[in-house]
Amino acid sequence: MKREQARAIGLFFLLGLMEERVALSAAGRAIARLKAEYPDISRKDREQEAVPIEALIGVCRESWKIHRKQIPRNQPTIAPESSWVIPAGLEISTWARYQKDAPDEDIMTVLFSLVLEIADEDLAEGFQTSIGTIRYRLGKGIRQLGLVVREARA
Amino acid sequence: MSDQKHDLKHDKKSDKRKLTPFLAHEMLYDFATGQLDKDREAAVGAFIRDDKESQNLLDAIRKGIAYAESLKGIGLSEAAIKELDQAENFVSLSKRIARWSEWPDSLRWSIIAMGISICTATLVVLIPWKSVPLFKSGPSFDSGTIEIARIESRQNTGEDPNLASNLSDDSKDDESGPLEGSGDEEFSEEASGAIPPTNIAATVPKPPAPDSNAWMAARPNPSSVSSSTPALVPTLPATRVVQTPVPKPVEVAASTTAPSRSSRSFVYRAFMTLGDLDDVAPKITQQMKELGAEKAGEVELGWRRGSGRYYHFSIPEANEQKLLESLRVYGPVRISKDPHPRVMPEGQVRFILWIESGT
Repeated sequence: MKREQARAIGLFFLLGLMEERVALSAAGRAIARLKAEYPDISRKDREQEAVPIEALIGVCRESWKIHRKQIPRNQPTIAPESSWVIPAGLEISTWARYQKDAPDEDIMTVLFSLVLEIADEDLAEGFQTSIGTIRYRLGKGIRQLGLVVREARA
Repeated sequence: MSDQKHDLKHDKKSDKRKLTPFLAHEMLYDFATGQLDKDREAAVGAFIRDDKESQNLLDAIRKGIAYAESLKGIGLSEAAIKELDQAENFVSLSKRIARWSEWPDSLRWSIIAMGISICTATLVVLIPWKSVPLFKSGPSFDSGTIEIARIESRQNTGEDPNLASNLSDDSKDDESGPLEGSGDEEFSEEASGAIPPTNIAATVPKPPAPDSNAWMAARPNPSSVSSSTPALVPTLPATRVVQTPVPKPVEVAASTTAPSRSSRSFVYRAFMTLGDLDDVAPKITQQMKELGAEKAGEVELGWRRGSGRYYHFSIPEANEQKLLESLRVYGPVRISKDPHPRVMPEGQVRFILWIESGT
């Protein structure tokens, strides 16, 4: 699988779960699962060959469901500082506040669509739902995120 | 006229598609990302112009999109990427290990080399080389021939060209053993550890003339030996006829004697170590001769080899115990009875005695 895909999976879980140990464990599990499902990518092409998007989404969702239970919702979120590099000027606590309250499906959709730039059609296939549902979740999620951002800046 | 009708329909349709606040709010994300068709976009735009709440929500959506896009700039640390890159579970690991192309080149070539070595070794072990004619050692076995005669010494009289050639051929065979020059094939084979010949060989002691060297009865080959050959046999001091086709009467005789062969196909091997061997050896030789021993190989009784003496002889079975008693007078005798394909005639036993000089 592509190195960029491994990085995207890592970022997806770090932002989605906001707990370093659990996020890396979930990302590792998803990547290992994809390696197990797609072992035919030869050694030389491993860095270039991409895993199908719908498979990546499915595996990430499954790993998310397993590891999300390990993070209590009513406790303050601690950003995983050692595993990522945050650009200057980016207030990560805004995301942490949104991530704490938003539904899982919305968070996943926002992350896949706006952070990992996966097309709505692929998302619909990966989530096994319609494109309309994906757009609805995106609208709802982004609206909620925007309100949190505006509130934080106020 | 038709254009006017179309405009009217469109106006009526537009009136029907007037947005409610709920629908307008739900379509704000699509409006912000430009995913609405022109009519919808115009309708939503018109609605937003008059609705303050929609303007606030649109602003929030735009800020949310901008913030979400800024999250793309977050990078993972090298340690985290390395950890994720090496993530494996049991299935992925076993599948990866099972993939031949994933193995290191040095390991793959080592395994290939080892596999080739094992295959080669197995082939070398399993191939029955002795049954491959090219690799057969020694004279080839011919089931149609039987050795019925063996002589002690070779003397080429030059009178019979057939006999002369036979003798020279035999000499070559006998010289192949480690005891080169002894002339005793059997001892040569035993010393070298060679497998004894599997063909049936009958050794018959020569009864007719006590002073004659020839002690084997030979059946002449009707095709190769002339009619005068039988007359030559008694006069020749050494006559050897081997590898002769067996006429039917001999085969019959062989088959009739077959049941008793197993009981008489053996040889006694004895070993002694004597200090004063040079003095004792002639006495032992004399005693053997008195007990009816006759040399069975091609060397005389008590043939000297190195520091030892070699006795290969046949003796009447009745005198076997007497011989052993006479030998034990000089020292302890180690003796063993070993199976041997050569069948002795009734009432005769064969001994191979080696006496080593020492204390």
